[in-house]
Amino acid sequence: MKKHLAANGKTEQRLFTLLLLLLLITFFVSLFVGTSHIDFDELIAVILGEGKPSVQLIFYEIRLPRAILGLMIGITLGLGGAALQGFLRNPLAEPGLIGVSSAASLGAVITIYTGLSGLFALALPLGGIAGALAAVLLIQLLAGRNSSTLRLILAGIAVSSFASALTSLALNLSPNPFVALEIMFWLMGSIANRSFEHVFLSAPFMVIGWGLLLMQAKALDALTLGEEATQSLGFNINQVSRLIIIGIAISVGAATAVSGAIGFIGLVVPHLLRRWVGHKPSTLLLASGLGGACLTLMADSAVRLLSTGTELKLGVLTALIGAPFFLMLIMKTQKDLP
Amino acid sequence: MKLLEATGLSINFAGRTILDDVGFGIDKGEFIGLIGPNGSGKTTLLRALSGLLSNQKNNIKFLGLSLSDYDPKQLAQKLAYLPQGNESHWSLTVENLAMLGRLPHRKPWQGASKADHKIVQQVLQDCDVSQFAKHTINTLSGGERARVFLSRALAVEPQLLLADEPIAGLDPGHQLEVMNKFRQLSKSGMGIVCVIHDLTLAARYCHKLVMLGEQKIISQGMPEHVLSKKNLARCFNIRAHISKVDGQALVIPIALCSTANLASKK
Repeated sequence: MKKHLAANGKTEQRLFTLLLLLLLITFFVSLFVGTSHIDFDELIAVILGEGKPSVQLIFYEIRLPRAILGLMIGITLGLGGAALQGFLRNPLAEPGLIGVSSAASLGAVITIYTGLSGLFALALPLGGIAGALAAVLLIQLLAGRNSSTLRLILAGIAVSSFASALTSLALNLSPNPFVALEIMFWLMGSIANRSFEHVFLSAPFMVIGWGLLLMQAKALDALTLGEEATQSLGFNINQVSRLIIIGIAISVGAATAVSGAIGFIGLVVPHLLRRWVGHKPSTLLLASGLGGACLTLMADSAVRLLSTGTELKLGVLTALIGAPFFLMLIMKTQKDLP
Repeated sequence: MKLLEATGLSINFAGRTILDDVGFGIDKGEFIGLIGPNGSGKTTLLRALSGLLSNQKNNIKFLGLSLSDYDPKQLAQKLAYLPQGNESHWSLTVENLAMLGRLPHRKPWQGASKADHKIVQQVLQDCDVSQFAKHTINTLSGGERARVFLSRALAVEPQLLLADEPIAGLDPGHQLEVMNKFRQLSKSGMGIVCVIHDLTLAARYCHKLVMLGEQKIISQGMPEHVLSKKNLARCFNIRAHISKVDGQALVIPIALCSTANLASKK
C-alpha cells in the first residue's frame, strides 16, 4: 500500500535540501582534487584571499574555472534531459537527440581541422556555439513551423547523423595524425585545462537556455495529459516546442562547445530523480539540474583521482559508468515505466 | 446571447468529409448530449468547439466573441475540454493530476494557491476519488481513472465543459453519479456538451440531444423527439424498444434493422 503513495511536498523539500548539500560537497571536492596537491588548510586560506601565490594561481586559473564549468555543464545536461523527456513524454530522450551536441561538436572539430583553434584559444568554443545555432535553424527549417513532435525528432536525428558524418569526414581527411588525434581526444569530452574565458564565453548561453527551459515548466506538467488537453489548458504547443528546442540547443550547444560531448548525464539523472518528485515534470527540471551538476562534478573529480599519467576523459568515464548504471536502472524500475 | 454558437462547420481530414456545414448552439445552463455512431464526427465537433481546429475558430463564437479573438489562456479559464482516452504520460498522483486543471488560472511562476487546493479537494470529492488523492494514477482502475480525469476538467471551473465520453467504462452507480453531477452543474449555470453512447442515460439526463450522422446533424432537440424509432434506424441502423419506467425514459436496442444496410454503409 505504502509504495503506491507517491512523493509529497515533504519528500520534495528533503530532496532539494539533500541535492543542494551534495552539490556543495561535490563542488568543494572538485576544488580540492587535482594533480598538484593542495592541503586543506591551504585551500581554505586561498578561498579567504590569503595563501601562497603559486597555490592561488592553481586555484584561480585551473581549479575554480574547472569546477564552475563542471557545475554549469552538469546543470545544463540534467535540466536539458528533464525538459526534453518531459516534452517528448519519453524517458529515453536525452538532450543530444535533437542534434545539437553533434552539431556543436562538428563546429568545434572544424576549427581544429582548419587550424583555427591553434590561432586563438576561443576559436574552438566559438565554432561549437556556431555549430549548435546552425543546428537549431536547420531543425526548425526541416521540421517546419507547425511541427509535430515526431517531425521534430526525425529532423533532429537527421541533423545529428549528418553532423556526425561530417565529423568523421574531417577525421578521415585530417592532414596529419596529430590533428586526427586532437580531434578524437576533443570528441571524448573533458573540462580539463579550461580557463575563465571558457566560463565567460559559455555561461551567458547556458543561463539563457536554462531560463527558456524553466519557463516551460507548467506547459511540461500540462503535457502529461497529451497535446490536445495541453492546448485546451491555454498553452501554445508550437511556441512551447520552439522555446524548448531553442533552450536546449543554446545551453547544451554551449556546454558541448567548451567540453565536447558528455553523455548519459542528461539521460540518467532525470530517470534517477523522477520518482522522488512524484513524476512531476516541472519539479523534475530543477531537481535534475542540481543532480546533473552533482554527478558531473563527482565524475570530474573521479577522473582526476583515477588518472595516472594519461588523463582519463570525463566523457569516457560518464559513458563507462553511465551505460551499465542505466541498464540496472531500467531493470529495477521496469514496473514504474509508463 | 448564446454561450457558444457555431455556424457553417465544414471539416475534412485527408480528403474525407467529416462534417458538412454543421451548426451548433448551446445556452448557459444547458446540458446537451452528443450522440451518433462511431466515425460520425462527435469528437471532431467537440474538438472544433474547443478551438483545437485552428481553421474553424472564425466560425465559432463563445460569449459573443470569436474563438480566434481569444487569448488562449483567457479561453482556457472559461472553456474546458476533456478528451477521450484519459491518457497520462507520467504517473502523477491523483491530486497533482487534478491540479493541472488549475493551470489556466495561474500567473507565470506562480505556484498552487490555497484556493486552488480547496477547489481540487472539492472536485475530487465530487467525482468520488478523494480517497485516492495521494495514489498515483497508474494504480487505479479504468473507471476510477475516468473519474479522476473528469475531476481535472471540473477543476478548471469552466463556463462550458466539452466532455468526450466521460462515463464510458464507469459502473452503473458511478454513471448515474456523474450524470447527476452534470445535471447539478448545469443548474448552477455551466453549459455542458457530452458525447454519450448510453441512449437511456442520454434521454433521461440531457436537456437536449444532438444526433450526428451522414456528415451532418440528423436531428436535434428534446430527447423524446430525437430518439424516435425512425431516427434510431437511420442513425444507428437499430430497432429499439422505447418506453418509460416510473416516468423515466428507457431506450433499449433490440436488433439491427438490416444487415444489408450496414454492409452498404461500408
